[in-house]
Amino acid sequence: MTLWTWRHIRIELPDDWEMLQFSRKTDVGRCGFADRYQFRLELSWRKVIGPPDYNRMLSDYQAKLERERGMENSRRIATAGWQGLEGRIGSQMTSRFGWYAPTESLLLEAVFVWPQDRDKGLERLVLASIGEEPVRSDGLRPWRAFGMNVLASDDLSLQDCQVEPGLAKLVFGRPNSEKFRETFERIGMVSHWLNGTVREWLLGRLEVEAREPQAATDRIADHQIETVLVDSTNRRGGRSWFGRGGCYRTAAWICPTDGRLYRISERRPTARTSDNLPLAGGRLCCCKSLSETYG
Amino acid sequence: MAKRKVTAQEPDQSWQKMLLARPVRNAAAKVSACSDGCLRIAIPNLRPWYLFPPISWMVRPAASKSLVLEGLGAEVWDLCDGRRTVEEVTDCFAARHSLSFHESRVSITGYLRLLVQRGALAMVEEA
Repeated sequence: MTLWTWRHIRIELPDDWEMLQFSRKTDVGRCGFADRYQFRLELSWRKVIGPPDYNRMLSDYQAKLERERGMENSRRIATAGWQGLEGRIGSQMTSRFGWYAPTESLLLEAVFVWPQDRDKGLERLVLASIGEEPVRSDGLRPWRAFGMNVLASDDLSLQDCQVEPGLAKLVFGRPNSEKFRETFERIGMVSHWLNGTVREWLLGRLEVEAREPQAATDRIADHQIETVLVDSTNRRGGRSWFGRGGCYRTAAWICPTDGRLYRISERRPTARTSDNLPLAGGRLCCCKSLSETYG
Repeated sequence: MAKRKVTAQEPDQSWQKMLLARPVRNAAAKVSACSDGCLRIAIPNLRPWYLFPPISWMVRPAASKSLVLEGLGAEVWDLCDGRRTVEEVTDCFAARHSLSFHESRVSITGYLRLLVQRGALAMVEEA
């Protein structure tokens, strides 16, 4: 089973299920997961003011599905603390469950699509794994998706998510503010596009103006980590004009396990306590060996 | 009209049928290797219905159209040997380039669609 964390919700799914649909919205949204042949699970969320009256909600929902979607043989079910419904829509067996996430005040709905009959064991495993991902004491919150294990600042929101074959990119920030930005990237097929060294590539991707970037190379758990630090507050003994100063740090490396190039960059007006956490292996992890280095 | 968003819960949201199809090369296509490792595929053009004398004495359309497949494109072409299904081609490509199944599927199906449109490949569906 593989752990995914999206929108502060964690879920464990079979290894061959991949996220093919996602939503960046925090109030209402959904993610769709598929095996190699079809969608298997849809996880949707909606911000609510309190826990719902499950009995009434499920009765209304059951009636709606029968009336509008033609659900047949529907009946109420319960698994791993989740209450739900099962029934057949067309040729597909579906089971759907609801749960209230108290910390986030979210109403979650998990809809399984079964190619044949319901796999109750798998259903129970998946539902039991769903939970809220709390914010850490250092103000970071985990996101796990598309092969990346990310710790993003909780005061930033997911502004952009780009997923293409061989490329996954998550950008966290604040709307209408360039001062706060965290970017996490995972890029594949490196031998086909990387012409120089990782350091050269990283220096060419700096998102801030840097006259004297401090570059360093570290070797951690067989990973050669290239790091660049730009501190514009110290450049002229203070903040630059127009208040564009701040800390910018970035790192990139090729993971020997999957051969992909990982890049993380962080831009902030001021340093924080979580800045002690290394970028590679701390804020962005590619594999077990790198994550184990920092516990 | 706005495009309707497909959801996971819709019936028949399966791409299994497409994965089971077999890409087969155009038997009339002539393949030659270029010195830089690319593949040049010459696909004969159909003779237009209006091309008869005296029009054919004046209008001389090209006998074939050419496609040049570079690195990855040539690799996909090699994998389409007429025996492998789209799923098998996808698996091979994913294993070679350390991609996930769906990353590979999106790349492969997009490229196969292009080759089918250009007449280099045809898709055979198993009964």
